[in-house]
Amino acid sequence: MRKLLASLVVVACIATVVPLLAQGRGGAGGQGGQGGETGRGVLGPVGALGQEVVRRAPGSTEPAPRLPDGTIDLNGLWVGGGPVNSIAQGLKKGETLPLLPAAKALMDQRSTRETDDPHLWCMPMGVPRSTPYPFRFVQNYTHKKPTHMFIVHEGNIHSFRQIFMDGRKHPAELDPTWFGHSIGSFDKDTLVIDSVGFNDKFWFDRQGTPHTEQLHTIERWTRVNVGTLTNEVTIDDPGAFSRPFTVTFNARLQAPGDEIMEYICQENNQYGVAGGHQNPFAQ
Amino acid sequence: MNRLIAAAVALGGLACLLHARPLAQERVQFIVPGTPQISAVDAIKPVPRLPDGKVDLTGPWVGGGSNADIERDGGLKPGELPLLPWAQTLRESRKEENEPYTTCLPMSVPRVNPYPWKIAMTYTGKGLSHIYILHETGDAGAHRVVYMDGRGHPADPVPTWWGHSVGWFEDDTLVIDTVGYNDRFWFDSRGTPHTDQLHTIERFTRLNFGTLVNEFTLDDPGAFSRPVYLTFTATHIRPDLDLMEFICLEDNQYGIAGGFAPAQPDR
Repeated sequence: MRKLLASLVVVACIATVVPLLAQGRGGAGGQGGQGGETGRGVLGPVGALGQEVVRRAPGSTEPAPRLPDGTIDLNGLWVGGGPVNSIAQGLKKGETLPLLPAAKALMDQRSTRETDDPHLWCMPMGVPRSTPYPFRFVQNYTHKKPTHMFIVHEGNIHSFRQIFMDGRKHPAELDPTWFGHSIGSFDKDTLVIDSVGFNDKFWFDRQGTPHTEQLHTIERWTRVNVGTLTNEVTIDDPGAFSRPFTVTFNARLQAPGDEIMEYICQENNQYGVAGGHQNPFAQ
Repeated sequence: MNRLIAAAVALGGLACLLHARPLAQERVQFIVPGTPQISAVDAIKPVPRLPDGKVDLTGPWVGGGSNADIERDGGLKPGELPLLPWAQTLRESRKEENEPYTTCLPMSVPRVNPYPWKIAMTYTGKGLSHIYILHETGDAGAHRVVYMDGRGHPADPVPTWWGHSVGWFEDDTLVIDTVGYNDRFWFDSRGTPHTDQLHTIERFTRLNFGTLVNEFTLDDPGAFSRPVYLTFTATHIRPDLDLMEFICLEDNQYGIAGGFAPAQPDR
């Protein structure tokens, strides 16, 4: 299995074996590539994106496991759980994004300049955007009970989000960052992550759905069974939207034995400068 | 004052006991301006433990690895690092501004720049199955995983910047064994090289609340004439502080923008 995986790795490429997932209730995305199979790869049937369709982990519908202290165990390799193509895919059927006119205009502008999407330049994807590649919850135990939760990503900038679990509040004065300032707690079996302090630079999705520094997100992660993790995100940004709204995405557990692979976006990135595209961050 | 002397003596004695090989003449610890460090009073408090009795290695820490010069930072005298002739020549030809990190590529092991890092001991339903070492360097090398579940290395690892790490405890010392490195990162800003035959063993021991010692074995027959033993010391940062966000690639004026070409793999 390892040798097969190893043979698929190219220096700047990812070789995990799942198609992108944007499984909200808005219906399947046309560009999402979740459609029918189009052949077989070495590890299974291949979807429209040319990637092997995910193998379901055995026992996926059993109740979620717990840690010795009773906390729900979020451990596992997950894929999905956030927008990839379009955050609107996470809305309920019939709903649309309540974009303010200026935000809509910016989004339209971005649709003509797809190469400005910061992640193509190896900039962070922020919250709640996800990739078609795995991530993991890292429950950091210390001598003081778990004080931090980290979410470690394989894709994008191959970094981590830091969630403070020690009861602290957001700082009064926020330094705008790509991932914001996150505080988390458990509401029964749901991990609730409240984040503010975002910069306005990342795009919510490939469509370029925008936001401002007023963005406030509340993620509610619930492991409904062994194989499924639901993320219900409330987006509250009066600078870009006329009202708060909620989107829901599901993450799927990967086959046991799979691990996060190393991926270094900026190593041999042919899309950006090397690909002849103007760097939107070069002033 | 007496307590400090006693603590220093105890520290020195313990450090001697930990060495099964020749003690480095000097343990160099670079003091980093800018990252507030733990106070001397708090530093000598006892080693904290997790509920299951394991030593708590979390940190965050600053220092504890190489930075400008692995030979000096690791406690050796100038010239003591047993580089093979070709590697010595390569080191001399390298310029600081060409190192991969200037284009935000990872620094890897045992490099620590003057920014905090932490050892996140990850408990799951199966106990301590993973340890994530998290660096503030962000996109330029944010996380490294150490598998603590007893697995071995793959027979033919894919060369990566961070390698494949497996770890275990020997009493209160965390031992991390790593192979499968690529040969692209520099051990220090002066350009000390290695090959993909590199095999490292890190032995982390927390001496007291504020001090973490890294006894480092560098075993690379492709670039060194024999295994090398180095010692690095990390200091806990001020305990109320955390890792900050750092995105190296954002507005990186040093690399391409500064007119420096990214380093090509050199031979």
